[in-house]
Amino acid sequence: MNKDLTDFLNELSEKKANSILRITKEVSPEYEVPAILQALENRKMTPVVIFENIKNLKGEKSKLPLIINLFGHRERIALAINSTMDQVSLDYAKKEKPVTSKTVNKEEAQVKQVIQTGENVDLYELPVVTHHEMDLGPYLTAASAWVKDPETGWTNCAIIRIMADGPDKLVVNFNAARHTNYIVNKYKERGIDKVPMVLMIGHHPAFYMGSQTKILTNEPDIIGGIIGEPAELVPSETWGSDFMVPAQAELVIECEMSTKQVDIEAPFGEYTGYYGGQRINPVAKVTAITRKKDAYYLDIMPGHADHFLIDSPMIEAYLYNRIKEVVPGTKNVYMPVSGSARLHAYIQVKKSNDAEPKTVIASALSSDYRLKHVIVVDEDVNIYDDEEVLWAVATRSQWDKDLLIIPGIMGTRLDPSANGITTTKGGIDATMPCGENAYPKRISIPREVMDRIDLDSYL
Amino acid sequence: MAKIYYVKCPECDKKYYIDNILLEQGKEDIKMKCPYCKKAFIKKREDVMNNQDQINS
Repeated sequence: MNKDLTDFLNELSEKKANSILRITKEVSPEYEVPAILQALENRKMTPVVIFENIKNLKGEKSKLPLIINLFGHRERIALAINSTMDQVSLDYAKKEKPVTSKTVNKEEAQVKQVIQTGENVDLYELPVVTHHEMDLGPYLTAASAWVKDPETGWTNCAIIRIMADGPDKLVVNFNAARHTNYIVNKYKERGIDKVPMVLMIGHHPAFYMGSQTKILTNEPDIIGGIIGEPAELVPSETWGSDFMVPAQAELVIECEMSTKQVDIEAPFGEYTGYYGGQRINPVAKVTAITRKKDAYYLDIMPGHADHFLIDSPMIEAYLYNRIKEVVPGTKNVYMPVSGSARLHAYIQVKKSNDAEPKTVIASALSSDYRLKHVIVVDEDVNIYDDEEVLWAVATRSQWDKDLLIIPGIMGTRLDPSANGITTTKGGIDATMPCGENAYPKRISIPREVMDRIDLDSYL
Repeated sequence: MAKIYYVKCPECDKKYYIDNILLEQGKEDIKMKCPYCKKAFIKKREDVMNNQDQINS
């Protein structure tokens, strides 16, 4: 059986005992959950937090405990795929290969232990969180939305923001540049009003990481590559084997998204640290909710590490694979929190000629619509350290020759400095020129002296 | 940079902003919903475009 969220929590408890905080006091999902998480962050604490006594949207005690900040530390993302913090995106890139999914029967599928369909579905039984002051309402933030391409038959998975706007009503947002949008447009072109959509909420983090692949393919197969075995799927309640759902998920919501009916959605506090403005978006009607008997309800805290890290290592892996095809000396890619883990990338190269860094910049900027700024550095610069990267910019770049600027390119409308989806991207070549004696030597203290100094003996 | 259009809720008087996409529907009457008091209301597209709520605040 595929590992599930409980398996991961057990492993985390064994290996990092203090990384899970269980809160038994009664908590409201309206602002209180985010406030507690923010207060923890203010104390530099980043545990997974489980709210065992959380209210649902009816104001009653939720049957499902709420879990948040699962992805809130790079160490946990690394643990999910047996990697380390500085290798996680490279290891992900190696595993990002298709493995055909496996169908299991209903009895083997934990997600079928409780089934609600038709008039019995009620989103208000869930502890859906309202995160920020100006958010229009409670949002599903950890829903991996699965949509099937009517042309290729491939399933696309993407975490998108979804507003809970009634017991069986959702309002769904996705950016124009997202694969989800391209697929929904295919349904529109075919005159199909109801787009089948499956929302997976809660699973082993590695399963989530696989579903966040940036490769345009049948994404459940990539999940198999990441978890190291076929992803287990089971027929949905609404469409049977025409649309399969993840069998060992905590919770699955099946819905039909309209290509015609829209409603008001947002403001919503986004990863950029700003609210996305109010807009209209497609309405989806929930047809079934299925779950484990003792399921957790998973939430991702928007605009914080929990939100950044469920995507950035996967974008790093995608960029690494794409850029390496063009510049084989590419060593590593990191998307720092200073760019909301989407807008900036630090790329480390061992270059073989002086034109390669700009090739790296152009290749990276065209590979992800959100990525806006790239800094290319040499192998001696630690890309996980903002100060070192900015030191390289300070001492290894001249802006009249080392900048590459690309105006009028597709970006994200969530960046308030952009003009809608049109933005200007750019990169800095902060590498030294090629050639052994082409640049001054970086200062250092003799290695053997550093090695023999035992600091404690001097204190 | 895209222009930001703030609107003022006629019910609670609080201000928030909309995505420009809301103005690009080709409709003269724009339906909105206040994130603070959750009341729905309608504003004239032209008034929003002219930033009436900014000027009058």
